[in-house]
Amino acid sequence: MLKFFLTRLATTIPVLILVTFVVFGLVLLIPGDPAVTIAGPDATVEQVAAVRVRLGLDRPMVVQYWDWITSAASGDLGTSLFTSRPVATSIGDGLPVTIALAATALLISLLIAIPTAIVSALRRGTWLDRVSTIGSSLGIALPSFWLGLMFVLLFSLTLGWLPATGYVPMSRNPGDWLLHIFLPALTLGIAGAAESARQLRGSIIGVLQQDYVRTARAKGLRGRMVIGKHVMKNASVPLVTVLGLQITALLGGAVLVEQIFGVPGLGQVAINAVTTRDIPVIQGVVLVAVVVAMGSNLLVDLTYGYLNPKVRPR
Amino acid sequence: MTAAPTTPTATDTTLEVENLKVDVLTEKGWATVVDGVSFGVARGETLGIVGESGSGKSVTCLAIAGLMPPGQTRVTADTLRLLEHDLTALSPKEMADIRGPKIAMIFQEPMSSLNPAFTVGDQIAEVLRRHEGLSRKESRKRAIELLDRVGVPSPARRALQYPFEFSGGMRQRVMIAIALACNPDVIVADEPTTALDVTVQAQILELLREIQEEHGMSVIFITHDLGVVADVCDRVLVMYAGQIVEGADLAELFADPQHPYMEGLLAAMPRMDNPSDALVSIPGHPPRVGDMPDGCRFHPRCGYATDACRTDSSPLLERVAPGHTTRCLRHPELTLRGSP
Repeated sequence: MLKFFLTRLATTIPVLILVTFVVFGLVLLIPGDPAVTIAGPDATVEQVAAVRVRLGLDRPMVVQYWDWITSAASGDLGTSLFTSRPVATSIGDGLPVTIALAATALLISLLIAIPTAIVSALRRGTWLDRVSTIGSSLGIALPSFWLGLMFVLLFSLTLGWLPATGYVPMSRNPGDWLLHIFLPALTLGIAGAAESARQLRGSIIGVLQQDYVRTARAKGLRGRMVIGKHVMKNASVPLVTVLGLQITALLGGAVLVEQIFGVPGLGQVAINAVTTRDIPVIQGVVLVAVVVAMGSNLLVDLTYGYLNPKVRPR
Repeated sequence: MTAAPTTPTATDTTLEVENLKVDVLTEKGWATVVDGVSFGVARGETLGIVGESGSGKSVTCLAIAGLMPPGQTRVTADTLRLLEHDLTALSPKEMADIRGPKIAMIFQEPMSSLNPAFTVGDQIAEVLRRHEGLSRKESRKRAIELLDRVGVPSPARRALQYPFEFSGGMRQRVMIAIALACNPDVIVADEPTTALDVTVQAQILELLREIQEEHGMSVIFITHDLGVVADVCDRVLVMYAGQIVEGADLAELFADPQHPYMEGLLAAMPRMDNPSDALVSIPGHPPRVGDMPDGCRFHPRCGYATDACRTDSSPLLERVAPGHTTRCLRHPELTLRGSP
């Protein structure tokens, strides 16, 4: 398993290098000259040129890239063009919040999806199954910004159970943290829950027809063991694939949900940077997002190795 | 029933089945796939059940073991007794307690009958943990012993491997180890060698025979291969379209068949001693589920059928000699050809 992990880790390095090219190249694709933006609308040509020199934008691309990548490798992602804060600090503030939000959303979505899928697969064709299928379709179809607003309307404004906006770090007060993160996480997780439930229901139904499930029953194993062990380990493979895709979607969705609920995560940092064309921050956010996505894909592959022994190298 | 087939005395009978009926839900409604099957199996005996695919032989055994999917199946019987247990009265939970220590199964497809996601050792050990309450460590040790017993070389290493690392024959040995784990009183082997090469087939049959001699368990051997039947069985039931059509001791059945279907099966056996003969087959196909012919179910394919066979109600299973039964109206007048 360690060898599998290391070989898989090694294959991410070329991808990572490629990604840094793309992230760096983004700057070239963005319309507008940052030097002009920084210098302000009334600046003279000389002033713009001076700003360009100060920021190092006049140097050859290769030099700029090398500079950027070596600093990034040592954790220095540059400084914001506007706030003059180090980019790494802004990301360091926002990233844990976004990760907490996405992880909670993922947890909530699995807590909804797994029992729903098992019940619907075992009671296939009954009203329970139909209700959950309709629920899944709705969950996939409803946009998260609308759902988020409805949740705020219901749970915060009408029932008054949960705060509508804001965020409390877990380190300060875990109880408050949970109260604040629950609605955003539910909003973010519900589409994933619907998708996972549908996928898992299908694969459970497929696995239930396998001969080895009959063998498990013939051994006299209890229903809980047959489903929980023999069926679920095999049925989880397609679910893990879906989850791998969902993790990236969760990061994207978090941007929106953070806006709705006023959660100070990476999404806020990204949106501010994009509206002000704060290129070092954009680059930093994209790079971090890509690394997180690649990390989650790595995790997915390792999970495959656990679930399906055939995937492991020998 | 005018005559139950050779039922051994109650004391040494491990399994007793009387008038077993299995209905399954098809697109066109309920259809009977096993119709009034009765038999008993003695301790230490190997009972063969032969028939074409779809004759109901596998369903009979799955129904006895409580493995037919509920909701889509109805199983009824006058008697269904395994040792002291009345299987008709047991809850699914109680049935699960019996499967393993009292009745165990070996299935046809060793490729798909083992779970690809768990080690072979674990799949054996979990039976022991479930039924004998062994610890993880003890059950693992016992699993290795079982693998050794069924002839898997270097069992300690092999126990940690996954099914895809085993050949078909080795997987079937693993299945046998699983079945054997809790020392059951009855083993049902459902076409255990059909998917295997002929040489491997012989090894597996030999292993089953050894194990039966060691433990004295009853074996129900389901197959469509009369060669295998001749090799391992003491007594044979012939099934056709959900019914038993003939039952007798092995030698008598082969020498003196009393049902035209059995005669046809014997004639269809390829023979080494006369290879010039073209292969013979029984004309036609078995009837489809839910579409049984009137009268004798075999009459559309039977060379001896008369009007009585076509119109009368299905013939009863009658005793023709001690321990020999047949379901044929014309058995008194027919002289059928056996296997030389």
